[in-house]
Formats: sequence, structure tokens, C-alpha cells
Amino acid sequence: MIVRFESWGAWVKLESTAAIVALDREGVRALGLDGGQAWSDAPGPSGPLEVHLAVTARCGAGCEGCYIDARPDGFEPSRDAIEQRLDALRDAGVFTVAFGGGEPTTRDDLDRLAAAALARGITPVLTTSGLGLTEARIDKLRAFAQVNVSYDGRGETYARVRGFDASAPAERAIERLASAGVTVGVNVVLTRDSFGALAETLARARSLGAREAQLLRYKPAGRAASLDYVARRLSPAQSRSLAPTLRALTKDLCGDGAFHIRIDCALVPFLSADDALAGDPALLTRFGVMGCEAADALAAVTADGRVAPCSFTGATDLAGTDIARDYGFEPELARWRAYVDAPPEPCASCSLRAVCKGGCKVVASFVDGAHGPDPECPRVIDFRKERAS
Amino acid sequence: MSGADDRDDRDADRDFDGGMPGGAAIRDPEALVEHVRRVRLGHGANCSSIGSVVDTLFVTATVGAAVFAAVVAALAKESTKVVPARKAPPERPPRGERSP
Repeated sequence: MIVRFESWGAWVKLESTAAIVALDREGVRALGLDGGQAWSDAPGPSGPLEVHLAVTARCGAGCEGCYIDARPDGFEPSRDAIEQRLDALRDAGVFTVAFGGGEPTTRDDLDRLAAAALARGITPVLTTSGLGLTEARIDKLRAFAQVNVSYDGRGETYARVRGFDASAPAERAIERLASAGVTVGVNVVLTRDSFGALAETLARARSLGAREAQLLRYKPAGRAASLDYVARRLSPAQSRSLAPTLRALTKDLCGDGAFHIRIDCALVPFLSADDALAGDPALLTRFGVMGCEAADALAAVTADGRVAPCSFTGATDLAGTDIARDYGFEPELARWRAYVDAPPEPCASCSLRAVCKGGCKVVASFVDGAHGPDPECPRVIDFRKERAS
Repeated sequence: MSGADDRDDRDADRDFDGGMPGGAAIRDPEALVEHVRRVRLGHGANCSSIGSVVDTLFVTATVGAAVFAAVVAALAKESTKVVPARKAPPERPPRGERSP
């Protein structure tokens, strides 16, 4: 296991099982370890636990809602440049690097990049559309701890999210990866159209060999930052029904432990509509649910090598190669963390505040024009209605 | 849990501060459970937003306890490598105390 001391104890990445664990100081001492300087110095900045590393901005799929506006002629950094960024992530204590793009499988050196991450003690994972994923390309993905295929549903459901139907090649990719022994999951973007088909989509993914589904909120970034966003985003009723939907999916699909469901950071505010979960924030904390961790436990490094709070935001001037030294001090990243430390109402008094961390700032910036409470959070909607009346 | 991480010794190049054999110092692994503040299961493999396993929120307390017991068992048996502490530039102020 790999131990990263923090002021409160340590993060521990296990190696025999896929998990990271936060231990308090007593727990760390029980392992025979002591935080030393990390525990005696004034609390200082921590590096991210997970970094999303764009290894290319190139992609020919042309998805209507691409959050980075990837194009066939997008910029692609050299392997040397990426390895220098990996050096910096290692020095920052990063546990996991998620390779993305653009379409990362357009590169022919992914096997070497995965090996480079592993050599630095960082777990590499990867997201792909699955388009053009031949057996030869799959062979280069064997070193990744997990590969997720974008799969929003079958046929028309997929097409309504991305503007074209590539569900068949995505399904083939899931099957081929699973057959090759690669741990495979699916990324499912939730829109007003895809939400109703979610049970069918996840059951299908599981039957094809997927072991996990990550549900993603549709976000107004890149090509999705348009008026069309308002028509595509989840309806308020759908947002409020997320927790009961997850409950039902868990019962139907996860009982044998062979399939897991994740939600992304931006979906966490929707859990506030569920009385049971909102009344037990300690449960969410213990199972490591993370809301907006942008500029904190999560960071992104763009294809041109700059650090961003997350993949959906603009990049800062901080170079990815300087992330270990300057992550805690870059002003824009510090601004994001400062907001989370002291949010306005209704986030300030929310029982899920410590988990949710104010919801998705990308959505807030697009819809409200300000870095504020998530305007699509059920609790924020109710608060604003009450105040208006 | 989602998928075993079956890496061998591919962390060799990381500049770790020493190491120790697994479980050598743990007298009471069960007591360690109360010191586990968070467990994040799985690797996840999404490149745009951080994800969290949530099916564990809806399982019985027994199943949830089994997750923590499995994690503690792993903590007790794995060998330890420590990421070296980073040294902040002295001219810059540290930010405040943060919890995990």
C-alpha cells in the first residue's frame, strides 16, 4: 500500500484491492507509522488524489456535447511531455491518473504511457468512445487498471446524447475489452432523454461484461455550452428522483457484488432531495462520496500541459510540470477552494455540505453567470423559490 | 469491490521513503476499523469528473461492515510505502486545515 500523510492522518492506496482509505492519526500509528513533519508543521496544501490527464485533444467522433470541443486536428503532446507531467504527478503524491482526451486510443503509445504511470506508482485508467477499438489497440490497454467506454444507451438513446448512433461499436468495445481480461466500465451521460432508459442501459452494459457504470451529469462545457444545454439537462423531477433510482438499480444489478454504480461529483447535490441520505451525511462520508473536488482532490491537466480545477473549466497558468510545487498556491485554484470553505446559503447550512461542496460550479457559472450554489440542486431551487415568495 | 489491483512491483521507480512488511505493527486489526474515516472503492475510469461508488449506500449494515472489514484486512497484510512529504515554498502561506 502507498501512504500519503495528511495533516489529519493519511490517505492510503491499497494494492491488493481497488480502494483508497482515509485513516486518522491513531489509525496510521496502528500501522506503525508516524506522520512526522506532516503532522507537526502548520497544515499545508495537499496535492490532488486524482488527475485527469488529456493525452490528446484529437478526436474524430464529433459528439455534439463534447466538453473540450475535441476535433480531428486537435493538439497532441509528445510522450516525453506527458512523462514529464507524470513525474510531477508522482511528486505531488497523486494516486490515480485518468487518461482522456480527445480520444486517447488514437495514440499508438498508450501501453508505454500506462507503464510510465505504473513505474511512478500511479494507477492509470482510461476513458474511450470505443470507436475503432481493434484487437491490436485493446492489446495496448492491458496495463490499465480499468477502461471505461462511453455508452449512453442503445440506438436512439445513444444518438440523442451524442448526435449519432455509435452504440453498436461501443457495445463491441465493451465485449472485446471484457473478453481480453481488461476491467471495463461504462460512462453514461444523463440527459433528459437518456435518464428514462437508465435501467435498460446498465443491464445491457452488465450483460456485455461491464463491471461498473459511472453516471455523469450533462455539463455546459465545450460544445455543450449552448442554449441547447437547457433542453438536454435533467428535468428537476428527474434530478429529485436520482436517489430512489439508484436504490432500485442497486437492488436489481448490484446484489451479487459483481457490478457497481458510481455517480460523478456533479450528481451529488441531487442526493439532497432524499431524506434518508440527507439525514445521514456520515454514511456518505464513510463511503468516500465526493462532490465538487475541483482544485482539491481532483485536478485536470490539459493537452497543452496546463492545470485546471477540473476537466470542464478553463485552465490556469500553472504548468502541469509545476503541480507538485505550486498546486496549493496558484491563485485561481485557491479561489475555488476558498469558495468551498465558506459557501453562501443554502449550501452553508446544508447537511451534505462537507460531501457535496456546493455542487457543480461549471453549471452555476453557465446558468447564473457566477461561481455560486448549484442552481439545479433541489435544495437550492427550493431555497430560491422560498426567498422569491 | 470493483476489481482487484494485481500489480506486482511496478512502483519501483517511485521515490518512496523506506518501506515495511505488512501487518508487522498491527496488534488489533479489528480496532483499526474505528480509525477508518473514509473508504473509496474502485478505480473509476472517467477522465472528466471524479466519481464515487454509491451502491454501498443502499446495502445493509452487514454488507457495509464487510466492506470495512475487507479494507482493514488489506491494511493489515500489505507492505507499506510512504510518499515523501512535499516541502512547500517557505515564502508562501499554507492554507487552512482541511479534513479528508
